[in-house]
Amino acid sequence: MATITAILFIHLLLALALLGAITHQTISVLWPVRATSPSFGASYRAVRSAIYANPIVVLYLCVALMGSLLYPQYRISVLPWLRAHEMTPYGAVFEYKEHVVALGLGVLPIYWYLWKMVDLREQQLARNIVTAFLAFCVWFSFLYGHVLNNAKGFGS
Amino acid sequence: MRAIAAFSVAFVVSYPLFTVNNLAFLWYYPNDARWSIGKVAGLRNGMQWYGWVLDALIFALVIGALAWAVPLRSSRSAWPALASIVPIAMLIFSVYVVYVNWWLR
Repeated sequence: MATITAILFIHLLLALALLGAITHQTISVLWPVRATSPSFGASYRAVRSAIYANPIVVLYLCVALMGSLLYPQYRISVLPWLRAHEMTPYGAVFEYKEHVVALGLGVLPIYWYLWKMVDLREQQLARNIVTAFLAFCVWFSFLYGHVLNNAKGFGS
Repeated sequence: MRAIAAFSVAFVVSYPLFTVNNLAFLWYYPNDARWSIGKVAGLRNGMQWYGWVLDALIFALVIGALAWAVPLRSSRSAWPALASIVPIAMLIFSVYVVYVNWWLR
């Protein structure tokens, strides 16, 4: 159980790092800074978006791997508990989360290619859509993972 | 570009199709800590997610390799456009997949 708890926390910490990176990058491409401004908001958006791409790919793969290691424990101890307490829809939404994560995995190669191999002045719309898609995958998975953890309760 | 985009499109299209049709050749049984090729009768709580991902990965690798090897006439922006729109459609389709798996089966 201690190993599962440790993996859960590493999963959470890596997910937090991924969430920060993808949010920075997505906001910087969807709401770019037009003029330099000293405000916090402008500084948040005025990042060099392309340098986030490699860390995002690596973090996404690591978080997905950690999640896949935790998944059997979820099936053994959490899902039966949800079913026993008439919380089946929670399990259904978790299944949607696993699909969202898988679709994000499929998009990673074209995401990486558009950021690292294509001139940043080209294919901007496709790059922005793919980045926003990946951000949705990360945000949805993070928030729903949090909801599910709260549903049963840590250590219960 | 074409091969990478084809890989991504093939993955995101095939994954929900494997899922909705329950086509996973690799199964994992967490209660018994056992992997198997195909479903094992008598064992409960079989997990197919790893199998679905692996199926989609193999399919996408084949399609990506074909796209790389076979010359096709297409505009430079066609593949990125496809690779950016199709995942959104499959995200919506996945809602239907969950509905089928949880409430119709």
